[in-house]
Formats: sequence, structure tokens, C-alpha cells
Amino acid sequence: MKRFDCLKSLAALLDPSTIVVTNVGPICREWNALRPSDANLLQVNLGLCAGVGLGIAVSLPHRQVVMLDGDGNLLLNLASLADLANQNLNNVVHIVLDNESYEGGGGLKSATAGKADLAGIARSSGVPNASTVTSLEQFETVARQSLSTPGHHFIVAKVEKGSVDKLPTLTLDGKEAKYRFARHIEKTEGVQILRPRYTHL
Amino acid sequence: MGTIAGAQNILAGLKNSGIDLIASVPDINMLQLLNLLYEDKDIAHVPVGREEEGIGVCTGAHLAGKFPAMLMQNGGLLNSANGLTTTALQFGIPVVLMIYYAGDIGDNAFHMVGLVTEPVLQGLGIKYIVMRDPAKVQQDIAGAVTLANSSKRPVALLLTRAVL
Repeated sequence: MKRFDCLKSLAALLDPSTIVVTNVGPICREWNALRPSDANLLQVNLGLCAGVGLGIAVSLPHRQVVMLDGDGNLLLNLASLADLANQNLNNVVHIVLDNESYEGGGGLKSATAGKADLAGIARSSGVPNASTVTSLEQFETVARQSLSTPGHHFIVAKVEKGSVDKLPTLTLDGKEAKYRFARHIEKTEGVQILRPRYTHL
Repeated sequence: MGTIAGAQNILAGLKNSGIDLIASVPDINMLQLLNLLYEDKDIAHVPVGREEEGIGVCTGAHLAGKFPAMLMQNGGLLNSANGLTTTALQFGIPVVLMIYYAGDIGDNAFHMVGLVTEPVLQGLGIKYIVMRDPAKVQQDIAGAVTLANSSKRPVALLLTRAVL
């Protein structure tokens, strides 16, 4: 199963209002090509995709939050699974595109290429709906079900290494990623996030 | 453990400054404060397993309209240095770091962590105040919140036993 195909089917299932947090690396480039939107928070650095998703999901319980995580990324902060579970969230679909490797780091194996089973770890951490899928058909079925049922869902999609040709270059840096996303939340939630610099003027 | 009066003073300072979400990893010296947080209805509390993850939680919370703080020991500051750099500082996220200052003069544990705490904050480009005067707690917290907002950066408060 190719990661790009998984993301393509996911993009077709998503509501435009769904918030998507992605890690840095090929996932965010592919996702940006498939679902360009200011409701995406792209390029969250190593280990923090789940944590950032947790912060958003707790703060906006009425908004659906999808995390597009990598196996290496999640392995850096595995406690995120337990901390997410303990918040009893009803608005989270956490997807790990598991290529069993550090693709952005040269392609060496990650622990999931060995004995680690992320869905098992999630289940034992208290995540109520955790599954592993190995075919695109399965992925579509579980993703559709997860997106349409309130809860905390965790999907490990076993994907091949490698991306697709001719992806648009992502010129966005962290600051622009933040501003776009923050402005989107300000507009859609009617809140002020970026506060004035000079309150005395 | 800290005192109940110290914890109440700090909690009042956080509330008066608009902090409405706190991620935390426990330290025994902040026990009273954490106990208050677990009971508090105004501030959302997100306990985390590792401090770096808490930086992620605070980043997400800020981008979702909250004003977050991260409560941790200074050993946790070291654990969160990458998250602070590549997420909070790189994105430009205002978050107040409430850090118990282990290894400070008068403290009886973790002297190595105490030794490197201020140089690490300086190296990260994070402004900080060492809080030693209970009478200035509210003012220090308000000042940290103002600077975090205006600079869109993390700002640190090093909490010593004197204020806890």
C-alpha cells in the first residue's frame, strides 16, 4: 500500500472544516499536494505531532482533529498515546503512516520493522479504537468509519517506503504554517489568537 | 511539597494573567500547586508523560485559542529543549514555562541540573525571571504573559522554594 494512495482516499473523505496536523517530512508534502488548506497545520517537528494534536483537540472539542503521524515520529514520544487516551476525547482520528523506517533520515529501520506494534501499544495505553490496516480497501473502510463516529480513533496504516514523483515543493516555513493556521482558527472560531504587540498605543 | 498559600498565590497569578490551559509533569516541590490544578474548573489541565510533549500540547492549545503554560522541573526543561527550539520558537508560540528550579542555592537535589538551567535558557534565547519573592509572584507572572504575547515566544519563570 502506498502512503500517497492512503492520503488521497483520506482527503476525499474529509470535511473541509476538519483540522489536520501533520509531521514534518514526506507526509506533509504529500498531504499539502492532496488537500491544500489553512485548516492544515503542517510540518510539526519530530515527536510532537500527537502532542500538538492533543493540545488542539482538548481546546476545540467541537472540531474534528486528524493527526497524520509517522512511526518514527510517534516512537519519540510514545507517552502521547496514553495522555491522549486519558483525556477521553471524542474528536480525534490519529493516523500513523507506518513505513517501518526513518525515511527522512536515510531509510533505516524503525522499531515497527522489528517487534513493536503501535496499535497494540495504543490499545494498552487506553485508546479505545485502535487498528492496523494493510490494504487500501481496509484503510478506506476504517478511515470512513472513524471519521463518521465520535471518539478517539487510532489507525496504523502499513505503507511502503517512498513517495511519488513531481510533488509540489513546499515553500512554507514554520512561521507561515502557524500564521495561516492561526488565522483560519480565528476566522472559523471567532477567537483572537495573535494578540496585539503594542497594547499601550 | 510547597505550601498551600504559595500554590494559591501562583494559581491566582496565572488566572489573573489569563492562563487557561496547563500541561504538566509533576515535581514534588509543586505538589500543592498541582493538587489545586487537578481540582480547578477554570484552567484545563493536561498531564503529560514527558515535558517535550507538553510543549507540543501548549503549541496546539495556543493555536486553538488558549493561553497555555507548561509546569515542570528544570530537568524537564532539558527534556523539552528540542520541542522548544523546533516547534515553540520556530513557529513563534507564546507559552509560559513554569519551572521548578532544582539545584538552586538552598535546594538539596539535582545540582547539575541547577547549574545548567540558566545557561540553557540563555542559549535557547528564552527570557526568564528567577522568582524568589512571594510578594512579586503575581507581577512576575503578569510580566511573563505580556512578554510571551508581544514576542510570540516562550518565556520562563524559575520557581524557587521561597515562592512555592
